[in-house]
Amino acid sequence: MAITEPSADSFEAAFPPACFGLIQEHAPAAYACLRQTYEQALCAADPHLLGLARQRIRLMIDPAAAPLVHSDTDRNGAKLANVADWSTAEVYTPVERACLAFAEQFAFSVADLDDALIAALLAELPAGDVYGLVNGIYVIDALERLSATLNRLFNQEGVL
Amino acid sequence: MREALEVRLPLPVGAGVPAVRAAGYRPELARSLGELHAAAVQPGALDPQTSELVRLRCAIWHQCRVCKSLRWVADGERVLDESDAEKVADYERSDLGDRQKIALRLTDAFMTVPGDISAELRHQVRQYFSDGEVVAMLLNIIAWTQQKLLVSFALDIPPDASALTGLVFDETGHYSFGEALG
Repeated sequence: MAITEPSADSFEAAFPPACFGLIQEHAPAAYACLRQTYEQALCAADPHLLGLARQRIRLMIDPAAAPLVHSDTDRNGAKLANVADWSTAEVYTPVERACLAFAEQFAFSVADLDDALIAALLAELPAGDVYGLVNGIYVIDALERLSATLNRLFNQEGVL
Repeated sequence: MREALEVRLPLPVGAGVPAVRAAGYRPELARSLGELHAAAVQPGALDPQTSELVRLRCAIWHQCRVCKSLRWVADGERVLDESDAEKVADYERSDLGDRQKIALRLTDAFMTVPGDISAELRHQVRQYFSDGEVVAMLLNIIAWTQQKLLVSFALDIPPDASALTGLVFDETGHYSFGEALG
């Protein structure tokens, strides 16, 4: 495992300074709210499920993004590594599959999300936990999009 | 079209509209999201007209019924003419200005695949907007796209299904619904 790869289970990994420094500089109150909301999101849902969702969303919205790794590679390494093939890979539990199916559609087009994706989550988790998970996925989706956008706009002069 | 959907989540017993009742499942996170929304749309670097264009683009892209039914009102007036609001859905073929179209292109990129932002769009954004304006616009998008939560659970129920409704912000960025608009 390359130690320079971003970690799936590090709080600070969600706020790379090269991207979020501009937010901190121009909108310090909003930056503080972003961090507070992320902290709350990690308390509102299973961090393991959020980590899988984050990996899937990250790879969807930024093809050049470095995949996340996990400090506990024995337990989660295969799951993070195979997340793009979640529908066929055998390493995932039913709740992980339901989470990844939802996260994928949430990131791709929430307007086309159907009843079945929520029903699949409700079959595995109590309603309150489904609500917490979906909220957590929103927060992760937003942070990953913000990071990718800032990176493309401000950190890649001359790359393209 | 997303019309007349059934709420997809069993809701806690209690008072309030369905979205408020659902927030009761995770009140502290809901409070944080509300404070983030307010901080992200607080009046500042970005002009209200651009912000409203971006808000409407998010509403259309995510097919949020409540957001599409709202129009930002300040000092008793809509911040954006309805004729301009109607151009957002097909903005590239409209007569909106370059700055407005660039803001909407960046909004689309954020909502789809931001990793594919082109050098051309990057150049346009940096040419037409200051760093502070870009930050404000991206934070606006973060706030407006909280609609994805409502849409996911079909909790995006308009305050008045038969008319547009005013959207009013106070000086701290907190919002309330105003009167039905003619």
